[in-house]
Amino acid sequence: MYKIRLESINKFYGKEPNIVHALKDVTLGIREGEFLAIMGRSGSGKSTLLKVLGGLTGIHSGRYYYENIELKNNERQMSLYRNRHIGFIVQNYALLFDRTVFENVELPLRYAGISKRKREEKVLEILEQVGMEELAERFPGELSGGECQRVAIARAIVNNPDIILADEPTGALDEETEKVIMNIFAKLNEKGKTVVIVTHDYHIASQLNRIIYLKNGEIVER
Amino acid sequence: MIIHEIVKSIEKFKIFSAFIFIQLVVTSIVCNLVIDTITSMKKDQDRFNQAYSQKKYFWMVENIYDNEKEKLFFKSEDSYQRLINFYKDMKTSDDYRYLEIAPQQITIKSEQEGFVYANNYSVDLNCLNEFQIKVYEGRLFTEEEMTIDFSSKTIPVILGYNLRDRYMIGDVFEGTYFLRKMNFEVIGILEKNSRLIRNNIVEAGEDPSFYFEYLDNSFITPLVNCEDTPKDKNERLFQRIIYQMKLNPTIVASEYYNAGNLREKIDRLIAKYDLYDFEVIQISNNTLNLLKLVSQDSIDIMTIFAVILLGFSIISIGGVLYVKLSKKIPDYAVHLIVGATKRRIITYLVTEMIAIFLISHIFSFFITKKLFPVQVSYSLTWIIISVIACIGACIIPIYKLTNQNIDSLLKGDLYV
Repeated sequence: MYKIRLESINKFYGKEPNIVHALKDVTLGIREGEFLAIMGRSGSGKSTLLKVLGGLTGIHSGRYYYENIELKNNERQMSLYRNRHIGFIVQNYALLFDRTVFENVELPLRYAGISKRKREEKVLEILEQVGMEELAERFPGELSGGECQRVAIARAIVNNPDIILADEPTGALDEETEKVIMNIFAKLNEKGKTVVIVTHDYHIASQLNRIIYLKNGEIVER
Repeated sequence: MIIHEIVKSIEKFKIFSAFIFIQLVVTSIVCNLVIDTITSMKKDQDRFNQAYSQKKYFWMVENIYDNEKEKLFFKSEDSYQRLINFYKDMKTSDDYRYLEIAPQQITIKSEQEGFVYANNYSVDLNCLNEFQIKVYEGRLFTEEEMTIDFSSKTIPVILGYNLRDRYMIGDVFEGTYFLRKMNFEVIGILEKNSRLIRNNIVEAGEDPSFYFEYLDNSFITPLVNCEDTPKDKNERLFQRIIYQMKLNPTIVASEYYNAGNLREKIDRLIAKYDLYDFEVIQISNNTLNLLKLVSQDSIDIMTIFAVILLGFSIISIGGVLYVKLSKKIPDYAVHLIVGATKRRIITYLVTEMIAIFLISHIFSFFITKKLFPVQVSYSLTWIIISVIACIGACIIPIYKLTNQNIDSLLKGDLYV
């Protein structure tokens, strides 16, 4: 069974006469527990595809299934879907710099309506999992790139999502830190999480189970 | 969650929030002041129109060419009783209102300087009603206070607004009232800008016209009735002055009443009481119309000023608000990633602005009350306008936020 299935997805950016056809009739199935890499050059549509998978951006045509149930292309349903099933890691971490590591990781739990006590337990547990428990009261500005990425991962998995989507998670990291981060993803995948990583780095992609290539918004190789 | 996010947002953008807050407080104080002034001018004008439109004004005054007859009249034993009866008959009418206004200085006893002169208007109750004169504190005169006898030692006095700090209600001070030593008891303080309309004194053959007489720096005393038989020269003099003042009234009638009707009544009563002659002068309405125009011009100028001020304030606050919200856009993108909806983000944004607006209104309210304790009320019109302005200032950021994708939001590209 596919965890996520996309059928003939089309996505456009911009306005006439500068419309960009970012995804062209993309059809893709991702199985439960897959460890998948999406590759392609800049502007090939790989980040857009990841955002479509994560319900972060709407589509212009096509169908989107989660566990064989078609999701409606509306913001409210997509936000619920994101909150329950998706952990998203974007480029440059997207952390709130005026909040502590703890508060950043806690944020999805707030939106999920979890009680304060449970939030505390859960956040500390996840921070321990990514090796950041001792830096819980620090602010992102006081952390290294690798530490920030670990906070971003912690925030993405704190809600215990089925699917983890990461956009260039190691792009700004040194080799040593890259290993640590990829190790975390591998462990998450071992625990049964479906992990999809967008990368342009063959070395990273080669550590994953499946690679798909995008070119000009179309999947050219699976 | 909403409160938590608002507090965090205000904490993060302390300077912007403080800037918006200060701007709002200052704008609120100024705009409210202007709007309140326009509102009270408009009210004043309505009162003016209500009081003076479609009316005829006459001035009754002794005929100065009948001096000999006047002297002869006062030599008669029963002259005072006849004068009083003439006055009573003149005052009683269904056709007109008889307003007694006597600008007669009083003296006030001062420990350092002896008796000093002070501006005073002695008026009757008709005058207070006609010109809608109200007290800011205390009370107006009662019917009973309009009559005294020669044994009376105390007379009530109302202070003009600017004299409110000079005495307290209930204070009694010594002075003279129509040359008679009396104690004045303070019973009230007039509202600011209380005024009556006076006709100016003119040369023979000229038309008298209106002017506003503001009472803020005057004492107001009753122009009393005193029907006792005078026992000595001083009492006779007092009674004569009082009633001669009372027989110089402004007479307000409907537009259908004319000078001939009034003349006829006066002649009839002069014959009845064998009195000296009075003249009737109809007061020109031209100056009244001019006063209306001046008042309308002032309202128009203030309105233009208020509109410019409001426009400038809305653009200025809207601009600062826009920059602040734009800087917050990447944060909103993070919230969207972790499960917030755009609607929720918009709720944060609007609630935060409303919270800042409300707090600034509370501050402005207290500052306004402190700076202008009485004159300026906090206007509901301004509160409504500012809420609309607040929502207006949020519209562009909300529109942009709604139409951006996560990518551009993360980059903070609200400007594009």
